[in-house]
Amino acid sequence: MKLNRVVITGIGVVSPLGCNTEKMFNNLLDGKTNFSMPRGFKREFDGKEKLVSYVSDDYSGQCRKYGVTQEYTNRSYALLACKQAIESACLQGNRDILASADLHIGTSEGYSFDNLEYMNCDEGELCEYMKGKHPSEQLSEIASEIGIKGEVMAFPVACSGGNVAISISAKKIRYGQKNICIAGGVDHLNETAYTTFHCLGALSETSCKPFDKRRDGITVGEGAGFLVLESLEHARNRRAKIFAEVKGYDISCDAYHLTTPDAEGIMASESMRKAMEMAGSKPEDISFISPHGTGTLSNDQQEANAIFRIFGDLAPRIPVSAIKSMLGHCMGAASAIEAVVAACSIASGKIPQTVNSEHPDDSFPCSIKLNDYGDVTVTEVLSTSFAFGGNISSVVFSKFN
Amino acid sequence: MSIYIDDVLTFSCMSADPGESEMGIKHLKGKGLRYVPRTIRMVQVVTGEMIERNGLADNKGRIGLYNTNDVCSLEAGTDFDKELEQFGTRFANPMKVPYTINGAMAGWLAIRNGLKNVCLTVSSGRCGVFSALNIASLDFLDGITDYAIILGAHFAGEAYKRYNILSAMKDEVAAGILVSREKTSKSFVEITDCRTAVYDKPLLNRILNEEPTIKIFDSDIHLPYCYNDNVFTYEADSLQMSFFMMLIGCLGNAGIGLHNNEYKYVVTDSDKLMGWAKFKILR
Repeated sequence: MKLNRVVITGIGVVSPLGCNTEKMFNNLLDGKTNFSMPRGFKREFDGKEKLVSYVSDDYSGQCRKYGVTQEYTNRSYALLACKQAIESACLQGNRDILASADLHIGTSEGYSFDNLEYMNCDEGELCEYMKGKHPSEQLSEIASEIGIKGEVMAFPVACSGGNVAISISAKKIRYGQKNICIAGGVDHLNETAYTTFHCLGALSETSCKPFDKRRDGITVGEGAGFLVLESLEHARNRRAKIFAEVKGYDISCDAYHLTTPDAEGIMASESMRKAMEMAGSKPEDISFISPHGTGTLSNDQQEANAIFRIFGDLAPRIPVSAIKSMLGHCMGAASAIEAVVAACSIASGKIPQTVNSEHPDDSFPCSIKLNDYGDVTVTEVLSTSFAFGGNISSVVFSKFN
Repeated sequence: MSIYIDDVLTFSCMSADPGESEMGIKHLKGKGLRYVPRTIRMVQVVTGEMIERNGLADNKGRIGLYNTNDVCSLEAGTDFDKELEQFGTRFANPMKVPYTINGAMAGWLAIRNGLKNVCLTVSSGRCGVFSALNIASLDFLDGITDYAIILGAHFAGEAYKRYNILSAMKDEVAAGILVSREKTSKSFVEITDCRTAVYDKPLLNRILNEEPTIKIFDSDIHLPYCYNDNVFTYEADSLQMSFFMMLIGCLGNAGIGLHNNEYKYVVTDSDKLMGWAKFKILR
């Protein structure tokens, strides 16, 4: 069976460091952060709330530019990032191509109502309250506003949602089921997500410090990242600019624990290996790793072990760009934003460094190269993501040849 | 690419605890279940039974798991929020937190059954089963799985009753379909096409009017909301998955059909999404 090559022809992003890809990427290269205290939370959190990462102030301007209602919701974030991706793929107004596309969204929850409001709502008002909040309504509204008429689905797997959406899209294109898909992830910062991590004791006292010996948890963030993925033939036929290629992917599960990964990193390394095998990549081909890098004790231990399993003696020399140190953990949007950054890195040849992490952890099997990368020719990027429930997804992005 | 249905199973225990049923006793043994919501325990009965009765215990590494219930954390999430409101964040029980996340059901089932392969929650409203079947077929093509367990459920807790307030179906059921990459001796349905799309009336009409069509001969197959005697179209019902299974189960066993045993099943999720499957009865 002839397999189609899968290329990225459009990218769009809503993030705490910029609501367009250029601004976000430049801020990442400059090592900036946008952490602040939570706003508008109703609950008390031991009297000391932790830093979070809201979308940047240019969100309102971008909403006006793209005709998106300025709300701080999944729907608005996803729409804005999708419209940006469509514009960067030069597909705006191309009804036929957009109608044929599928839409895949990674996120945390399928529905979008406040649990207590929902339960306290009178039954007679329930239908009105839930209008527009059902998973299928949200999906179809986003798709309809963009002009997509193909298959639409969401993957509420939380943190690895973006990579899952990209992987599913790549599968469809690879096997000729589709010529074009729009894939990404979205999550807005809400009190529920913050509370979840607070109750698990997973929030950092200061800010996210991936792979640092003093790491103490995540910084909750928000945003959206979307990519236009096409078959190479389809992209060439319409002379589309190609940002990068999706050469390999994997979706699996470590089946270890609902909230804690297996510290040995066995299934994590297996996922990386499978994605690299599909891509035809050897360890020395990988220019840098875009890790999950949440800054929790367990995740980073797992990831360090997995990196060592795959890269062995090469591991200390491979750049590890943990951008959650700057963006925070954007939940369902995280791996999608990381995919956008991978595409930008491949296009520009530059790699954002990890910030806040200055103390190596001696318990890791190898040192992790978080900054001072030197001259690196960016040709292939390994992106990994891990979610609650043990879900793992790895993707290999490469320079298009 | 065709895929094959080897088994279908539903589980319902009325208001009793799932662990007290005959199947529940088998598949809900052991520790670690105290905080696991009823919803997940019901679906575990289906998953565990499906693995056991199809002899897949030694093949777990080749099974993909796809949960199509996209509000499976609703009850646990609302319960936890009520607890937070009552006791505050300091005294809320952290053991309940993991189940407030949508992906927890699939993840817990993977942990419980040792399934270290694809483990997804697929959300496309009431068309979820069609999306899941399509993804499973792609995973078969990738060669990473040989079997897929596709799960759906309709629950009767307070939060779910409110969510399904318009649904005529009030019963609680967990359901599963076992799909295989290749035809086996157990295969009784071949799915030749399976897809979803944004609701589009002209496309829906084309799908409804094209071959194959189905004609019911046996009135014992009780399937409400049948709009005409040529095709099935179900609108806005959260039990669509179990209806699909009941349909293929009945048709498969009774051998009822029109031409070449080819059938079509179409679901619309109000005017938002639509899904369809074309299939053949093999025996």
